[in-house]
Amino acid sequence: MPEETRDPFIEQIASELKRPVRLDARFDERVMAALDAPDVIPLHPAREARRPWIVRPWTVSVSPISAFAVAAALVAVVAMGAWQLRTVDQVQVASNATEGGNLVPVADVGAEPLVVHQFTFYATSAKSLAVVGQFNGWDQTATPMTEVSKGMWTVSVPLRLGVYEYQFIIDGTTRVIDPSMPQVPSDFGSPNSVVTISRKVPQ
Amino acid sequence: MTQTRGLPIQNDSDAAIVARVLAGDTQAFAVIVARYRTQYGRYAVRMLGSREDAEEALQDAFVRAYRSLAKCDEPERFAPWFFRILANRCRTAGTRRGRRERTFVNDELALLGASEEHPAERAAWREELDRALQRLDTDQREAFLLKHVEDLGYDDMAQITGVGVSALKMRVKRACERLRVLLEEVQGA
Repeated sequence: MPEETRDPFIEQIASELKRPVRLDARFDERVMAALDAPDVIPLHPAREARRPWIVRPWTVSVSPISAFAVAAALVAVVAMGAWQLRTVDQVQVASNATEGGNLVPVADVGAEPLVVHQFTFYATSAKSLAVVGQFNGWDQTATPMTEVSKGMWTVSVPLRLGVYEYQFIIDGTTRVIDPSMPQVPSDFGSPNSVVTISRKVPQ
Repeated sequence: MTQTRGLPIQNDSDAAIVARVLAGDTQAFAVIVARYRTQYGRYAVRMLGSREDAEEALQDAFVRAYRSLAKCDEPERFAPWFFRILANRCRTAGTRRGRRERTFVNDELALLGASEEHPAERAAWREELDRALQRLDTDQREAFLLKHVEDLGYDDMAQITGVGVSALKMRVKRACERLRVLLEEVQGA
């Protein structure tokens, strides 16, 4: 189809519609205030560092021996948690992933348990794989995956209860969705996969 | 991490400002907002026919862009990336609004045209134009605005809308035809 030829009538309309419009004088102020809303995910660790210390994640350095002891303690906690899940039926953790139930309860602090979710992707020709999503600010360097067997890549990520959009990145360039999970449209054309971290176990 | 603060950055490139925001200087995002609010505010107003709805969609788009800034693979091309987000928000807002009565922005247009010759006639013409624009299908209105008001090429339009070039050309063509019919009806009345 050829490009439209110049049309004075349409040009007159366009010229009229190109006139500037005025927004509210406090528009910029409102946008900047909206960025501080609690549901706006931090962009980068540097921004994290500017948060009050009480709500900021922290890192603990331990020696190898201490690390072993801590790991053993964690295993014990996990084992007890799993035992409690079966007996008391309190904190239940689930994944809407495929078979295997790849969520492991780590802790239940107050109303917001931390759950380890294992992301898995099968890509035989990939040289590297990473998962990006709302939980890591879509940072493709934050969560690299490990090839545990030929073509099978996994990574375990501690997550709070909630719904997270994510994608996988193959070789640092190709974004792909998780074919085993639900999808939602994104603002960028391609869809995102969605994982729901919930307390309920599928019956 | 060392951060430079308080320096004038109004003339910095989009990529430099994006890098600065990602490094933790969230206030630098205000430069982005100031840089693009007028151009994209106009698009949102024309798409939605109401300044209130347009400001809501534009604010939503800025917040979404900020939240996804790390996902902006080509920060030097922030503007088209942002435009894609805004176009989506406008479509969503338009759908949500449905058949709700639309508030036109003619008070503003009339104000801007107050110094012109025959301001009342101009204001009436703009009112009819806005009304006709809002009577177009959303897809046609979007295509028309991108092509004739934002002066984008079809390839850029395809990137923003996710729609093929042929379909976009057809939408623009139909939008032009429909506008002509609607406005000639008014002029002939």
